[in-house]
Amino acid sequence: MRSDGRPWQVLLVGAGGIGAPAALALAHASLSPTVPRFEIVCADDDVVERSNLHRQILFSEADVGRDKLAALSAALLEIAPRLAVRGHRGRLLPAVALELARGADVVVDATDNFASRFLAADAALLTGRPVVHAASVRWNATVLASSAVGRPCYRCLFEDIPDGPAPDCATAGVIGPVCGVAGALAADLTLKILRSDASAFGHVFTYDGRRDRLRRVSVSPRPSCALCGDASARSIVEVEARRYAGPACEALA
Amino acid sequence: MIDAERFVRQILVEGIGEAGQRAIGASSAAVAGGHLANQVAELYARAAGFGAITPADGPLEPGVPVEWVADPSARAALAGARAVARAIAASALAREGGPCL
Ligand SMILES: [Zn+2]
Repeated sequence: MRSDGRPWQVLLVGAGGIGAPAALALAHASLSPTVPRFEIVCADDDVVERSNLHRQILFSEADVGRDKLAALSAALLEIAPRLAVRGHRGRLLPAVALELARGADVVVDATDNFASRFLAADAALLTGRPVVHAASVRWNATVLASSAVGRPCYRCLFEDIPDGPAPDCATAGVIGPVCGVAGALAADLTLKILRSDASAFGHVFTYDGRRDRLRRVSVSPRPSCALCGDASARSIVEVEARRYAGPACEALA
Repeated sequence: MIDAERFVRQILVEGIGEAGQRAIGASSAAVAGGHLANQVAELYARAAGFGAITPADGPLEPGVPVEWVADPSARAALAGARAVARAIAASALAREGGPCL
């Protein structure tokens, strides 16, 4: 619990392939009396499609066509009836990103495209919120957490949105349980952050599902990082919409 | 017949394709059980289209030290997901010849 007695607010951005297993693990964890009390605010604007079902394990055929927020909260309440789950019907967009991040104690980036990922990184750091980034495509997952001041942050590692079309994003596909690995790791990092456990930061997890190989590699702060680097290097000081122009990519979640 | 609409995102993955999806449908995943890890694995195995799901020998293990992943629920979700990733690789990638595990 926070010092003001309210539960922690976890902003889960994306109720898709990674949001589902992350929320499932968080909901089960919330049943433990040793886990800090938290609520989930989930931001998404999608409806469940049949092609989601191979990876979005909280949804079934009966949910097809249903609002993802409604389907997700119903599934989570079955796991943890006392867990408060609220919805923000909409994507993470530049106009609302700072406000959404400011209302949260930790941001979980379970989005499906590079533009949203960088926006989540920037909004979290600019509002001083820790953020957990989780992504998966094809057989691979990548997960890392950044503290409220970065050092390191997502941009220390990935700098900027790749030029041109994202790597085959419309056609790449993804293995369902690889999203599950990303979501499970994201849930654990989120819980570490709620416990003020600094070991959440400074590493990137990578998973290769083809070989079932999970690695944790140290990440160093990059002094030239535009988001969290030295004062002279910091060029990102506000959320400017033009920075996040990029194609949406379902396949990345 | 494979349900191409439902499995399209998985079929698109390099190494799977329609033949891999058929192989998954013809395989069984030994993951079921009462532990949360097994329940998560069962969800992923059903979602991936395995032809049959049979009981596992026991609780599935996450295969990571607690310094990496500490929370029991997160470890269970990780264990369940990894077990099905292995099962998918074993049934779909086995067609390519080489050992993959
Ligand atoms: Zn940085």
